[in-house]
Amino acid sequence: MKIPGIRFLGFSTDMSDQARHFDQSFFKLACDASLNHIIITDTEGIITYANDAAERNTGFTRAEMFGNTPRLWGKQMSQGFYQGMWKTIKTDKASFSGQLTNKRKNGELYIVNARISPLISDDGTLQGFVGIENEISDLISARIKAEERAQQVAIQNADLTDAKKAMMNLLEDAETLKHELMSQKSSVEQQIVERTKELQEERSKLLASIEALTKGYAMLDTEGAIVLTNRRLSSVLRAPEGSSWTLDGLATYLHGYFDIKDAFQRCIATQQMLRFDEIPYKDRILQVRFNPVLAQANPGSGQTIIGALCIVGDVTEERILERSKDEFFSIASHELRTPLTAIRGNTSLMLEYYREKLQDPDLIEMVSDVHDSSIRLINIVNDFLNVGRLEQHRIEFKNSAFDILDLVRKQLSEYTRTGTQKNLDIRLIEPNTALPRVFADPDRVREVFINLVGNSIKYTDQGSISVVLAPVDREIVVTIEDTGRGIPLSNQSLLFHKFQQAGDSLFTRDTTKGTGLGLYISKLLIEGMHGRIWLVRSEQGKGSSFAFSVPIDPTQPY
Amino acid sequence: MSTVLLIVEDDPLMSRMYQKIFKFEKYNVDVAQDGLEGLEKARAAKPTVILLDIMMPKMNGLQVLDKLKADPETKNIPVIMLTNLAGDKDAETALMKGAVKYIIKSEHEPKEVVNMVKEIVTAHTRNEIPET
Repeated sequence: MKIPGIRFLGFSTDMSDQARHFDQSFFKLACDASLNHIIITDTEGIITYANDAAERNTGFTRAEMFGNTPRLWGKQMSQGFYQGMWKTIKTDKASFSGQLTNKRKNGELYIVNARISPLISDDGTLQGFVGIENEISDLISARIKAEERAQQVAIQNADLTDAKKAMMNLLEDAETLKHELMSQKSSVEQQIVERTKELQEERSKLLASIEALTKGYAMLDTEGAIVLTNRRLSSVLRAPEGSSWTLDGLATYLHGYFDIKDAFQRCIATQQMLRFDEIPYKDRILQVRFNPVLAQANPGSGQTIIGALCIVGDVTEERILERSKDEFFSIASHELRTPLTAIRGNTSLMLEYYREKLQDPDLIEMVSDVHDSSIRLINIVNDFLNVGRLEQHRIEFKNSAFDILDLVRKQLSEYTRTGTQKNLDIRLIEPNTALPRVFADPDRVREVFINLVGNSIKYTDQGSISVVLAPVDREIVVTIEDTGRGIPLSNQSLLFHKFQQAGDSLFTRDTTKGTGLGLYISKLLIEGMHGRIWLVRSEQGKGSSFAFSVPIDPTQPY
Repeated sequence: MSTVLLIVEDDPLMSRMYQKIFKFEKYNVDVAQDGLEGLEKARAAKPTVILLDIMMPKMNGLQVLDKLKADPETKNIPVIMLTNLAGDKDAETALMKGAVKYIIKSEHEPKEVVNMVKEIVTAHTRNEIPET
């Protein structure tokens, strides 16, 4: 800022000394009274006057100042600054105003508002400079403090704002959380509702299943309290419908028949299933089962018993059925055979003892046919009963070690002795070496052998039937080969099945040849003795070859 | 002395048929219609041989067999089981209880049954010769 320099207005060089002295002393007093630092320099900046305030502010005494320049405390600004200042006050002869940083004698920096003006005499020549400085350090520091304070406040404000934001965020978060929780809660609630529904459905299904059981049902906890029963329980025990059950109640009903408490306690103690198959109860037969109910308390933990399931079944009908099944075979065979035996026996007696009275050949034939029919019927009954027995494993095999060659030889001599109507060459091909004994039921082996040889005789009109025995591995294989009619390929796979004859269809069955159970029975028999039976080969018009095997007696070192 | 044969058989069809054949074969035939009667007749008449059915009213054949074998008076009379019970177990039980043979009726012509009885009687009386 440029302000016109100070002119010595009103001063005149021709002032009286007294007046000048008066003026000077008063001016000096006035200047010293000022709080502003005032110095006067010559044109070169050498200090010629300094007031008290200048001493106070700079820390230098007047004696130190005089003869020096204000650089004593100045020099804190850039060189360019001072050059600019000098140009203003000296060249331009204008006043300089500005803020300067000075350095006190003690090194302390301070800031001032300075006004430096050139002193120009009336003739316009530069006489010197007057510098007035007003220390503003306090103001500045106050301002700085204020600024700092403001800054602090701003920071605090910002902090507060942040805090507020954080609070807001927190609140928002809380809100979100609340929403999430709400939605989770509602989804959990919904899940619970769904799960509950599912559980209820499961429960309904289970209850319906339990109710539909044909057996009495009681679920007990480990203390023996009955948690669930079905209606059937009451009816099985012949108790009034809808009875509510306790273990004691069950025990009372079953008293004298079955110790249900003991069974329950054993089931809980051993965690094992207990089964009581035949409990006579009044006029019924009951079956009681206890199943431990185990549950895994936590994943990874072992199972603990949480109760027992008691199932009470009425097996009276089943037992009667089983028993009658057992008895059926005996009774059926007996009841069917007896009249058949009478037919067979009496026709036989007629033919044997009344031959001379049976003159008519047709009559003889008719009696013979009745006789033969009865035999066929007896065989059918036997086949059927045997199949039933074999399928239910009711046939006991009396296995022993025996000479199968001997058995075969004897049986074949039976054929040659009694002979057949057909002129067939039935022969045994004697093995080269002695055969080890086999381990099987000789009567059953004979049955199988008779069946196979019988089939060969049945289906061979001319030629031969030869029997070969050979040890193979740990078995003796008996092969029966004939020159019969052979079996069509399409029927070969059906041979050992029930009711299969090698005929083409149901309606072309050769019923005179038997029931079609022969090979099936033979298969069941031979397999019951751990042997095998199979078709070796068959060719239509050329003959068939069947074989069966029987295990060699394991005690024989063969 | 002709052979006295006791047929213990409840079914008249069977009874009549076996009576006929054994009469044809010159046997002295006595019949009983149930187990109890059979036991009584066996004790009273001491037949040479007994043909004993199993399934019978009052006392079944196996019970009769037990009583016959338990009685010193009758225990030496050969008993042949003549039945249509074809179970192996029945045959085994009867033979264990002392029957000399187990014949399944339907498996044999009446003539064959006669032949089997004949063989047994012959064997039995031959055995008895040294004793008398």
